[in-house]
Amino acid sequence: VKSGVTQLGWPSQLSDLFVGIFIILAVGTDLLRQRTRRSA
Amino acid sequence: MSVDTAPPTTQKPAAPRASRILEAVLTQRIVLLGLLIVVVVAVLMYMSANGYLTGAYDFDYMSSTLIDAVPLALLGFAELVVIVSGRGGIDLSVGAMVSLVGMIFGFAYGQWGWPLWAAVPLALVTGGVLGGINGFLVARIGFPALIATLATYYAYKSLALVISDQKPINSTQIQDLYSLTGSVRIPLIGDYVPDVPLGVFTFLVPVLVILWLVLGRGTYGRRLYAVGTNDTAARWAGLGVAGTRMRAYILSGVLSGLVAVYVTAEFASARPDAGTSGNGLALPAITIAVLGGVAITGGIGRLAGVLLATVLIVWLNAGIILYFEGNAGTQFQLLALGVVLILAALLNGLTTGRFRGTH
Repeated sequence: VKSGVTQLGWPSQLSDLFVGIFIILAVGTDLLRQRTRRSA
Repeated sequence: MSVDTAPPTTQKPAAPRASRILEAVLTQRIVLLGLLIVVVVAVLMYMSANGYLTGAYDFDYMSSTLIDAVPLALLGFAELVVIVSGRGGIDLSVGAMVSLVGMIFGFAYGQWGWPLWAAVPLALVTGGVLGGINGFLVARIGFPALIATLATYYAYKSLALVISDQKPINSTQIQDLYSLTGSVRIPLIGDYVPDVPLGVFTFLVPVLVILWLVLGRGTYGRRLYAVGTNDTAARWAGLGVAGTRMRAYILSGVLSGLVAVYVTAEFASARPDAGTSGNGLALPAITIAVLGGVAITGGIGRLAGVLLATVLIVWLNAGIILYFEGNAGTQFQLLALGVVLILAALLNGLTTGRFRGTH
């Protein structure tokens, strides 16, 4: 993520924002999967 | 022939006084903290009087260090509210919220020319919105609080740095805010007691009174403690568990916003790393909450405990700074914080096992 942000010419501190978003996406996907399995 | 007519006694024999005092010290966290404060101050004053410290550890010095107690106590209250809400409640993002809200407050008041009466509510509302995002993720979606607030910690910290281009705002208006944190003489008794930082009266005491009313006297406080103690029972009792928990995170955000205003005034500068530099503000706030008797499992915690824990940590740190030459003391402050946290956790375990918990 950090090298991608750098290559895009964005501020390097923006990488932490993406890290935060990825954490939420990853855990959110996991929660969704668990709920789908439970309701099935 | 005599007949013993005395009814059989069912009461346990009274415990010896020493045993009762020990139980009070171990189970009443406020008693323990009060005792620890007396011991720490007495030892440090003795060391100061005998030349072991590099400066005088007296009441004037102790009073001046309360300037650091204000943000720590406010963030300790924020952690109390979210931890009490239960289900692993914790807020790792308070420091990042302080940074981000501080920059937004700095832009509004220091660059856009907003008046103070508009910029401060903006900071509080922004803090509430950021806390609301945490609350939505934890209470509505069901994210573990540790993960959700870790993610928002990264996001808020990043945004604070990006929107400010890593540059602090220290315009004249912001520098003038320093007067909010200066020391003042207390009327009537000012000749007998040291000057006290103004922030204690303008930030800490009002927040303490409001929180005491909300948590100790209001229905929201009862709901919060009920939800934190047993959310299943609270749900069956018809309490809005998710809403109650979400409001705890919003309150944490509002308190962080207030700390952002205070820290901006204290440093006469809105800094993008105000709440995240070094070890940040979140870990000391969590330490103070746990030391103050807040049960990490939720449902238990008192404002007075957090307040006393803050005073203990601040006065202990003030003594450690004076013990070492140069900046070496700051490293030992971290060690002291860690040791105190471990001891508090051990004590919690001991009292839970032997006396059914801390009160």
